[in-house]
Amino acid sequence: MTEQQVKKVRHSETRMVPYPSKAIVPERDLNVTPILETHHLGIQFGGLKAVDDVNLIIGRSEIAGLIGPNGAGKTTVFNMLTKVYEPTEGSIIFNGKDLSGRSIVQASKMGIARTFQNIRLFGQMTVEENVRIGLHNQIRYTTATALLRLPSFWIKEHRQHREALELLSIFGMENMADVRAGSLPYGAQRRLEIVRALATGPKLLLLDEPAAGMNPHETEELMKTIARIRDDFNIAILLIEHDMSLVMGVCEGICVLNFGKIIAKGTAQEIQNNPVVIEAYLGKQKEESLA
Amino acid sequence: MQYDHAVIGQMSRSRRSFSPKARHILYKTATFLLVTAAFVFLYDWLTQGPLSGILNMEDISRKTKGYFVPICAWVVAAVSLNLVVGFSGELSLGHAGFMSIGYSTGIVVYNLLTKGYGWENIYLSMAVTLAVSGLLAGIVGFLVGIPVLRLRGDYLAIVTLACAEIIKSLLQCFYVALDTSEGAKLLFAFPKNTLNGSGITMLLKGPTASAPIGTKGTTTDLPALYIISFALVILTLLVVFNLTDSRTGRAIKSTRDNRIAAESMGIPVTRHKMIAFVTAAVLAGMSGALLANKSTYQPANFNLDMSIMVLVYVVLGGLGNVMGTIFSTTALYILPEELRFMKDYRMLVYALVLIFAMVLSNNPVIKRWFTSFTSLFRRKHSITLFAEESRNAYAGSKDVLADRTSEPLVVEEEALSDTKAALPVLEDRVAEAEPAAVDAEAGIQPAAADTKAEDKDIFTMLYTADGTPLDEESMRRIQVGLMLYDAYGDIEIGDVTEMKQRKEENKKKGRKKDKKSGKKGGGKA
Repeated sequence: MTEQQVKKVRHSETRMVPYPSKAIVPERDLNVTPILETHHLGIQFGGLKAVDDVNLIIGRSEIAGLIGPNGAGKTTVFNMLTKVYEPTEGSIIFNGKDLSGRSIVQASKMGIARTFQNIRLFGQMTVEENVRIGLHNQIRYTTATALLRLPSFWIKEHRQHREALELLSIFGMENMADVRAGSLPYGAQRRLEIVRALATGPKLLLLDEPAAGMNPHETEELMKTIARIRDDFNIAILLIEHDMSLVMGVCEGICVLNFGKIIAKGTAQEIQNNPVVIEAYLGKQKEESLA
Repeated sequence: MQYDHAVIGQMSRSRRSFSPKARHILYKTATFLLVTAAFVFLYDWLTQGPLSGILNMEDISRKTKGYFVPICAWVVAAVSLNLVVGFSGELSLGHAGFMSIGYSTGIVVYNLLTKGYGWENIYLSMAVTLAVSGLLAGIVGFLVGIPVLRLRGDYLAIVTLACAEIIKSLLQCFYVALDTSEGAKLLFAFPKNTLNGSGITMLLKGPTASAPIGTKGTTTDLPALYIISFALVILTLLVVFNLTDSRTGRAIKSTRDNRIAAESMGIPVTRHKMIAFVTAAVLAGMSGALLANKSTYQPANFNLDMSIMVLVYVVLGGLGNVMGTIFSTTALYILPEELRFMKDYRMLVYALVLIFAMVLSNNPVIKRWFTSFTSLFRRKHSITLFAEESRNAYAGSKDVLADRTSEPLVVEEEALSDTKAALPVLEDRVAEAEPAAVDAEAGIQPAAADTKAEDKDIFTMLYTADGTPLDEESMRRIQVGLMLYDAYGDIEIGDVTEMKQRKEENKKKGRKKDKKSGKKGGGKA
């Protein structure tokens, strides 16, 4: 990853063009079907409409941001996209296929990977084992092979090991492969979650507050890494984040959610200057400049 | 204000310690060697082989002779239950149910083979018996697993209990006889005994005691049974180790650690819990068949008490700890037998010993002692922090540090010099300390603030051992020092005055920086 590439992403030279519907995607993604479309997505918990009429389109190589005040329903959207919740309204089209009625596991196998707002690592296992679990459906062998320790077991295990280390090297974490995941510092745990999600071979990576608990220096690093991941793996990334420097720096399309509804969509500049966003999202701080 | 420049060093903790992988291989090898050694010793003693000749041992006593086979059976049962409770993290209270299926099947199959078909080879007939018993228990385990594994936690435990009760009740009205009058034929009756006539041998007799394998058969051949039991234990260890150290095993462990995360990684949770459950059922069935030698059980014996007993073996041995389970099973099996001289007080003493064992095995001091005792297996790596990581962690934890000390700057300086003096001792202490406590320290995050008590333990030990107890203040200083130590790796303090100078310079630089990037100024907007 060269400095130039980083700058290209951060300064958002990508031209966002309207997709033949209500959303915009980067121009380069226009000639292929988008990776994710949601149509009138909504969910109701009892009498409460947590998310209502969310229409999103994400291009195949887009880095998109989902922002909004606390309790706006961002994580609920993530949970619907990964099928933790079954939406009560609307539909999700992932990679041209309808997600309705599919399980979390199926969604993962189709190519949706996520990280969690409250870190959900397998704390008692080592860092490498965590990544290997991500590789579960990528490098497969049967239980019988494992029980009998057939040659293919050793070959595949070695491949898993190599690939796990390779993935860890994205964040320079190879030297921690043998550390218990639960004993890692907070920032490293967040990074490990991203690595683990990447190991599942996703087409769309959902990051739930990846920069939470990181200092500005680490956030800067993370920003570069997110751009690099998109370029190296050629995947789409959708992230929820409260750190505006990260969102404005790396996201090409941004969607603002408030009270479960989309109040604005657009590029970083558009969002920054959108009076609705400034009023609804930033409230009293509107006279301060963004980022 | 940044402290980075003062004390960044390279961490080099790898000396004298094995990597976790090597340690795990050692642990597995040790388990196998241990079992093999116990077997070789006892087998040799039993048959008065060369070893007992050298050691000049007398004939094995009747009582000691009888220990090995049932202990092997219970070890297999306990290790297999550990697969469910320890590795897949589901509490199963119905393990005795699977054992009873193995027990009954074992009796029927073995007698059919030896008496019905006249098989002479005890190894072959026992192997077939164990295989069939395991298979049948596995099938029942699968059927039970379908409803059970849809539940979680307490509900799952209760339903396994209920399933075991159903199995027990069904077996209580199950009659099987062997008819050898014209060829070998098995006669079944359910739910009332309608079997009679000449030339039939009752094998399963409903609620009353069944005819165990060895009563009239040939399995009173104890040396052969020793070999079979040993083989079964080795098979169990192979299955459990090979399963847990594989793709499937990792998936099973992941469903234990975090169900939602496992599902999001594309791991079908129910399927993997089922794999663990059925494997455990198969092994439990085999252990039941092994138990069917010479000992006379009634279906009613395979009740909740027995399930709980196996669970006690597992919990005392340690969840997910196979070697520990072997030790605890052996100890807890022999204990009540050896306490027989106490007559009526036997179970009371047994229960008291159990309470003490549980309390002691959970005592941090004792745990630490064990950790230092088994230095080969200790997890030194878990406290390794890396300079880069730690610096970042430290930068984020300044607030925590500030909470702990009213004047972070001053205290830090003092702590550093104190730490330097204590470094050689500290380092060893830290390395040997109980992993969990150090883990908490090592990750300098808000959680670390809650581990004061644990910290204190280490330092009390350290300094009372030297005969110079610490007062609160210096203890706290050392704590801060330790945090820094963990944050920066090996501390190279150098000259304190030089450090002061550097700080002054940093202050000057810092003032300029502060205007640019104050923490609250520009970070969020």
